[in-house]
Amino acid sequence: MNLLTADQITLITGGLGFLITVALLSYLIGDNLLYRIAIHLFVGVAAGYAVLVVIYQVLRPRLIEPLLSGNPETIAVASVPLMLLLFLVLKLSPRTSAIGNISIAYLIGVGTAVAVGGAITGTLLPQVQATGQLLGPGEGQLLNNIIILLGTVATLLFFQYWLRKRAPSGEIKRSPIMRAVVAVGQTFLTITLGTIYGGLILSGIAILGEQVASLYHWINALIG
Amino acid sequence: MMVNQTGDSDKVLCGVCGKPNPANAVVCEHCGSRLGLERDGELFGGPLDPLDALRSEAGGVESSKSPTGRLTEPEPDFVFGDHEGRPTPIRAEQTSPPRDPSLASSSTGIPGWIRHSGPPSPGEEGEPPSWLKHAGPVVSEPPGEIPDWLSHVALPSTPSSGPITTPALPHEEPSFEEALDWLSGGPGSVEELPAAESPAWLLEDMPDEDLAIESTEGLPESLEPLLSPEWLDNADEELSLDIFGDLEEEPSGEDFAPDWLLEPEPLAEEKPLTRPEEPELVPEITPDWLVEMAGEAPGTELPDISGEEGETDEEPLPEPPDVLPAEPAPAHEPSEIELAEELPEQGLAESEPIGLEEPLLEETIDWMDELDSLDTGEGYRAEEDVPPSDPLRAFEIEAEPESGQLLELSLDEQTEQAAPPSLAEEVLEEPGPLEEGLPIEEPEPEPVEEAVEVEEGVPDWLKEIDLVGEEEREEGATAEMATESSQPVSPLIKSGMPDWLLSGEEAEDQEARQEIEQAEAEKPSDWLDILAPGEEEALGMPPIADTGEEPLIPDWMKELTDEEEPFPDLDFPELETPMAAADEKAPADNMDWAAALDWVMAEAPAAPAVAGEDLLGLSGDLFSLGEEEPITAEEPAPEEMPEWFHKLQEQEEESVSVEGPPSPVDQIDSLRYSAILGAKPEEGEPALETYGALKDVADVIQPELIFEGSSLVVAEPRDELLLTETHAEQILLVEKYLHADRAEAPLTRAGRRVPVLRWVVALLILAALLISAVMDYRPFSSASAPSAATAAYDALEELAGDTTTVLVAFEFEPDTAAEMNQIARAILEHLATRDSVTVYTISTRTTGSAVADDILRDDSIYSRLKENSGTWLNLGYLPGKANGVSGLTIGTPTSAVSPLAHDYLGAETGIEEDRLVDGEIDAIVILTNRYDDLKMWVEQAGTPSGLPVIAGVSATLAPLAAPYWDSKQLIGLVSGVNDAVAYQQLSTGRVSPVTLTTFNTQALVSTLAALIIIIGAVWNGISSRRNRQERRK
Repeated sequence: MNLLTADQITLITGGLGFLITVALLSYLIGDNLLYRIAIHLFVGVAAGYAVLVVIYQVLRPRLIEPLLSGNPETIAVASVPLMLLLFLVLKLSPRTSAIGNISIAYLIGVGTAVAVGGAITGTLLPQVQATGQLLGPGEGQLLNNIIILLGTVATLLFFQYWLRKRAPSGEIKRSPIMRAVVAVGQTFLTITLGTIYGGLILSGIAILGEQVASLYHWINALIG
Repeated sequence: MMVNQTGDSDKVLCGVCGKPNPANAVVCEHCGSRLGLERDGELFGGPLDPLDALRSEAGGVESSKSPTGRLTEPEPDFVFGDHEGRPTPIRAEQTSPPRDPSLASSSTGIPGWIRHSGPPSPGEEGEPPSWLKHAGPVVSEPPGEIPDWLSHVALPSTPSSGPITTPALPHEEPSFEEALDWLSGGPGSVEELPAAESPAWLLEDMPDEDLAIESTEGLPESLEPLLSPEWLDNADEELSLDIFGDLEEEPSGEDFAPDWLLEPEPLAEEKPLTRPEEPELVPEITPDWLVEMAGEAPGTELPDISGEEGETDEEPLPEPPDVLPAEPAPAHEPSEIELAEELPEQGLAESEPIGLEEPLLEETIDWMDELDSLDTGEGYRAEEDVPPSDPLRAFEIEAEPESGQLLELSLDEQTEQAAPPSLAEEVLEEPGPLEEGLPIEEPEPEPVEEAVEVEEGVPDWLKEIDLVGEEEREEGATAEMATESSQPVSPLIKSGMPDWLLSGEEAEDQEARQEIEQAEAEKPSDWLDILAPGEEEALGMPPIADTGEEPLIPDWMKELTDEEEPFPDLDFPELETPMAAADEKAPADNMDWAAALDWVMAEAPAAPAVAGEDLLGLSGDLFSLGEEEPITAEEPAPEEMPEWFHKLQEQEEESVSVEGPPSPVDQIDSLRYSAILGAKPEEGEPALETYGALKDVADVIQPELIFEGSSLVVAEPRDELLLTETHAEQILLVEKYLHADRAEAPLTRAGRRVPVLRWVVALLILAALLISAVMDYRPFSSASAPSAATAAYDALEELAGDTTTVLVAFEFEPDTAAEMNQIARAILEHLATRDSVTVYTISTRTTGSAVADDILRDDSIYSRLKENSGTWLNLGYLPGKANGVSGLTIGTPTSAVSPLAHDYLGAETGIEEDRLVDGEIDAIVILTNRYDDLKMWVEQAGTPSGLPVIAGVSATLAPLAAPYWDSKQLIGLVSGVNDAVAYQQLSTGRVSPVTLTTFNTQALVSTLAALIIIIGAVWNGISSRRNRQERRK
C-alpha cells in the first residue's frame, strides 16, 4: 500500500530539490545558514547511503555470510579481512593503535603496488609507445603527429628542472634553442589548460541548464 | 748528630754526613746541616730535631730549603684571625715539638699556621737575622744582669760537665745554642721566624680556643695539660669544651691546677695551696727590679684582654723585644747558674708578642707546678698529692749531668722563647695577691681576668726554679713555649721589663711597623693569597711570587673578625666559586692572586653561552647582577674594602677592559636590527611602528639575530653580491608596493564597488540559459560526430550480437549527472537496441549504483531492453577502488566471494566467474567525469584484460582522455553533451529532448561567453592603447 502516489512523490522530491538548490545557490551572496543546512544534509544523506551500501553490498555478502557459511575454508579466508578490520578498530585507542598499523601497512602496501604497477603498465609504457608510433607513416596524420610529438617533447622539456643552470644571482640560464622549445611547451600547456577550463565551463553550463530546466518543470507542475 | 763516641768532646759527628765537627760548631762544616738540635733530640729521647719533626708534620718540607715566608698550605682562617695587620707568629709554632712521633709524617692534626713554617735555609742558618745582629749575641749577657733570684737558685748547683754546654757560649756549646735557636729564633731559624711574620694582631684577637687548639695540636700529648689546664676549663666550661675537648682524656686538670686557681673565691681566703710554706724565699729569689715593679703593680691598671669584650683590640699591645740590647760580652765563661740567671732576661728580651695572656699565665703556673711536682719524680701528679719540693733539692738533682743539662735546656727554652721566663718573671714581677695581701674577689672570673689576678697571686714558691724530670721538663717547656711565644707581651710584662729590653722592643716594634707598611704598599693584595693559595695553579692563574713578605690583613678584615666569629662560619667554597670560572686567558703575568680573582670576576659572565636574545638585549643585566649580588656575611662589603684595594681593583678592571677579549654583546652590536637600519635608539617615548601589520603599535620587539655560543665568528662572504636587472626590477617592484602601501589610505568604500560588468556577464549567461532551457529555444538541432564518438559507436556495433555482455562502470555521482546522464543514455540506448545484450553495471562509488539504477530504469532504455530481450544487472558497489578493479582482472581466491556474485541489493547474480576474462564480458564502458577513475579502469582493467574499453567522459575530462584514445587504449571516446548528441544521432537517428535542450543551452551560453570574452579582450586592448597614448602625451 502506497501512501503517496507517484505524482505526489515527484512533487515532494521536486520541492525538496528546489529548496536545496536555492539553498546551495544562496552561497553566491555569502556563507549563510541555508547553504550550511544544504551541505550538511547532502553530506549526511551521502554518508548514510554509503553506510547502507557498505552493509548490504560489502559486509553482509562478503564477510558475514562467509563466516556463517560453515565452510572452514571460507571462514578462514573471511577471517583475514575480519582480523584486519579489528586491527583498524584498535586504532581508536592510543594504547592499541600500533596494532592497527598492520592493516594500514597492508592497505598502503597493496594500494601502492597496484597503483604503481598500473601506472607503469597502463599509462607510461603505452603512452610512450603511442608517441613513438606517431613518427611512423600515416595518411593525413603527419601534421597531427608532428604537433603531438612537438607538444609532448616541448612540454616535457619545460618541466626539466634538473638541467637548468643558474647564474650566481639565481637566474636560470638557458640557451636560445631551449628557450624556444620551452616557449613551445609553455604554449601547449596553456592550450591544454584552456581546453580543460573550457570543458569545465561547458560541463557547468550543462549542469546548470539541466537544473534550471528541472526547476522550471517542477514549478510548472506545481502551478499546474 | 751524634757525639763522638770516643769521648772527644771537641768533635761532634754530623748526623747527616757523619763527619766530625768542632764541638762548638753550629752547622756541619761539611754538609751544612745543623748539629746542635740532634744532640738535643738524643737527649730528649724524641726526634733528633724538633724542628725536623715539625717540618715533617708541616708537610715534609726539606730542611735545606729556604723557609722564608713560604706559605705552602696556608689556612684560610689564619687570615681572619686578627686585625692588627701583623704577620702571624710562626716562631712559637715551629718550636712546638710533635705531639706524637707517629704524627711526624702526617699533616693531619697540624694547624695550618704551623705548616706555614719551613725549615731554615742553609744560607740563613749561619747568620742571625738582622734584628738579632745589632742586638748582639744572646749569650753575651753579662753575669751582672742575671736576676738575683736566679743566682740564689743557682747557688747549690754544680758546674756543668760532659756535653752540657753553657748558653753563654753558643759557639762553643752547640747543643745549647741550637736549643736557643729553635726556642728563641737563633741562627737558622731567625729568618723563618722573623718578628714581622708573627704579628700579634692575629693572636690577640684570635679566639682563645682556636689558639689553644692550634697550639696544642703540634705538641706532644704530655704537654697538652700544661697548655690547657683543666682548671681553666672549669672557670669557663663552655670555652674549655671547645678548646680542650681533645684533652679531656688527659689527666684531670685538677691534678695540675692549684685549688686556688680552681676556686678563686676561696682562694683569697684559703691562700694558695701550692707553696705558701715558702714565702721566705720570695724576697731572696725575686730580683730587685722585679720587687720594685711589684711594688708598683697594685697601682697598675691591668688591661683587660678579654676577647669577648674586645678591648684588647683597642689597646695596642707592646711589641716584643726582638732586638736584644747590646751588652758587653762576658769576660768569663759563665757557669750554668749564671746562665740560668740571665736566662729570664734573655727570655724577656726575646719574648715574642703574646696575644693571649690568659692561657699563658695559667699554663705558666701549671708548668711551674709541674716543675715543682716533677721534682719528686712522680711525674704529673696532683699538686695536693705532691708537696712542694725544696728548690735546693732540685738543684741537687740538677747537679747530675743529664738532668743538669735538661734544666739548662729548659731554662734555655724559657729564655729563648721568652714565654716561660716571661711568664715566670711576669708572675714574679707582679706582686701577687699573697704578697700584696689582695685577695681575688671575683667569684667567676673570666679566663683572662682570672689569669691576671692569679698572676698577681702567684705564690712565692713559684718564683723558685726547680728541677724537673727529664721528659716532663722538656715537654713542659716546649709546650709552654709553643703557646706563650705566640702571645704578645702584656703591658704587665712590659712594665716589668728593664729599660734595655724596652728600648730594644720599641726599636723592633718600629722596624716591624715599617716592614708592614712597606709590604702593604708593595703588595697590598697578598692577604688574599692566604685565602686560597695554591689554587692559582689549578685555575691557571699566574703564580704568586714568593717575596717572603708576610701576609697583610686589611683593616676591613680586622673589623670583620671583631664582629663575628671568624673561623667556624667562614664558607670558603663561596670564595672559590668565581674562581672556578677562571679563564685561561688571564692577563698580566705579574698579577697576584687578588688581581686574578678580580679579573675572573670581571670575565666570568662572558663565559657561559646564553640565548641570542639574552645576548642581544638582556645580557647587560647579567653583568650587573654579578656585581650587585647581595653581600653575604662571609664576604666583605665593598665599603669595607680598603682604599688601596679599590684602587687596585679599578686599575685591574681598566687593564682587563683593554686586554680582555670583547664580549659577545660587543661583537654582535653591529648586527643589531637598529644598527643595520642605521636607526638610533629613541629615548623617551616608545617608538611606534610606521607600517606593516604592527603599525601604530609601540614597543615592538625588533627582529634580531640569534646567536649561541660564547663567541661570534663572522666569516667573509664567499660570493660577490651581484645585482642583476631582475633584482633591480624586483627591488623597484617591492619599493613600489611599499610606497603604495604607505601612500594608500585605508581601504574606503570606493574599493568595494559592485562589479557591474561581472553581474552583466552573469545575467547574459543566465538569460541565454533560460531562453534555451525554459523557453525551449533550440537553435542547434544536431551536432557533428567526432571520430572518437564514431569509433565508440562502431566498436559497440561490432560486438557479437546475441551474446553481447557489456560491463558499464558508472563512475560519476548525481552532482554531475546532468551532463553524464546524457552520455550514459546515448551509449545505453545504443546497447538496448541490440538483441540479447546483457549489461552489467558496477561502480567504485557508493552512489554509482544508484545513478546506474536511475538510468537503467528510464523508459527509453528499460523498454528497449525488454523489447530486444536484453537484460541488465546492477552489481552495485565495488570496494577498494583500484584494488577492487584489479581484483576483477586478477580474480579472487577460491573460497572468497567474487564481486560479481551479488547485485547492489545483495542478491546473488549467479555469475560463477570471478574474473572479467573468464566471463562473457565483451567490452568495458567507462562513464566518468574524473581522470583518476578513467585511468584506474584503463590501467587495472582495460590493459591487463585486453578487453576493449570505451569511455564516456565529461567535457572537462575530454583533453585528458584524448591521449588514451590516441594510444588506442580506448577504442572509443564520447566526451561531453556534444558527442552525446552526435552518438544519439548515430545510434537512433534522433536526439532526446532533454539532451537537445542541454546541448542548446550549452551552445548558447558558450557562444555568448565566447562573445563576451572577445568583446572584453577588444575593450581591454582599446583601453590599454588609449592609456599608452595618454602616457605618451
